[in-house]
Amino acid sequence: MKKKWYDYLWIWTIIYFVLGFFNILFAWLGMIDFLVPLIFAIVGGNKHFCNTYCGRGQLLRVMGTHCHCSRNKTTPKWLSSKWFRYGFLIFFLAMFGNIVFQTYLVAAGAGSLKEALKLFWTIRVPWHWAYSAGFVPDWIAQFSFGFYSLMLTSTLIGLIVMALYKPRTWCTFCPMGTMTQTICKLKHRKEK
Amino acid sequence: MKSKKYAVTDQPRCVACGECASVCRIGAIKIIDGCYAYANPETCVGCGLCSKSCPVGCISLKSREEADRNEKEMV
Repeated sequence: MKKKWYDYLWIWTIIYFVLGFFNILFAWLGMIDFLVPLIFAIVGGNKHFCNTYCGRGQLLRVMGTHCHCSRNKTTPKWLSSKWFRYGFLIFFLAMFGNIVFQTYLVAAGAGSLKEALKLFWTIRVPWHWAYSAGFVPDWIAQFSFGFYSLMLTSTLIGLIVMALYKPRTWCTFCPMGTMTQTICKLKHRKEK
Repeated sequence: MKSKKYAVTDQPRCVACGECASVCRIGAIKIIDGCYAYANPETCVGCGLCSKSCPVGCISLKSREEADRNEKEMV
C-alpha cells in the first residue's frame, strides 16, 4: 500500500519533543493535538484524528510493530474498562486545570515562573536551558513548562504500556480518545 | 470464494482507535461514526491481522459456518 503524507506524522511527535528541549515555547504547538481532535469530533462527529493523524499513536505503532519494542501481550481488561478510562480522563483534565491555574497565578503576579518540568506529576526535572527570561511574558513560559510536562508524561506512559502490552495500548485509555469517542457517541445518539 | 472465518467486533468495548482499520490490507474495516470498528463480513478474508493488533482485544474471528447455522436456527 502506498504511503500518504499523514503516515509520517510520527516524525512530528519526535520533532515536537526535540524543539521543546531547546526552546520550551514550542510546547504551545502541542495545542494542535489538543484542539484538532475535538474539532473533528464536534464538527464532523468522527475520530478521524485518532484514526489517521495522531502522531503519538503512529509513533507507538512504529516503535512497537516495526522496531519490535513491544512484547505484544494482551492488554489487561481494566485498562480499557469504562471506570479506568473515565477516571483517567477526569484526572488528566484536573491536571490540565492545574496547569491553567498555575499559569493564571504567574500572570496575576501571585506566583513565580518555575523553569522545570514535572514528570508523572511528581518528579521535578530542571529545564532552565530551554528558556531565556524576559523573552515573552512569564505566564506564556509557565504554560509551556506545564504543557510540555503533560505531553512528555503521557508519551512516556504510552511508551511504557507499548513495551509491556500491545503497541497502541495507550489508545485504550488516551484521554483525548475517550473524550472524542464520548462526543461522537452523544452526537450520533442525538441524530438517531 | 469466501473465507471460513471473518472478524467481529465487540462494539461496546471498542475504543475506535482505528488500529484495526490501518492494518487491514483490503480495507474491510471501517470506524463507524467515531464510535466503534465494523468489519464488513462480505469483504473480510479472516486473516486475523486486526484481532492481533487490537489493543483492547475486542476483535475475534467468527466461523461463517457457525454463524450461518445460528442464523438458520433463529429462522
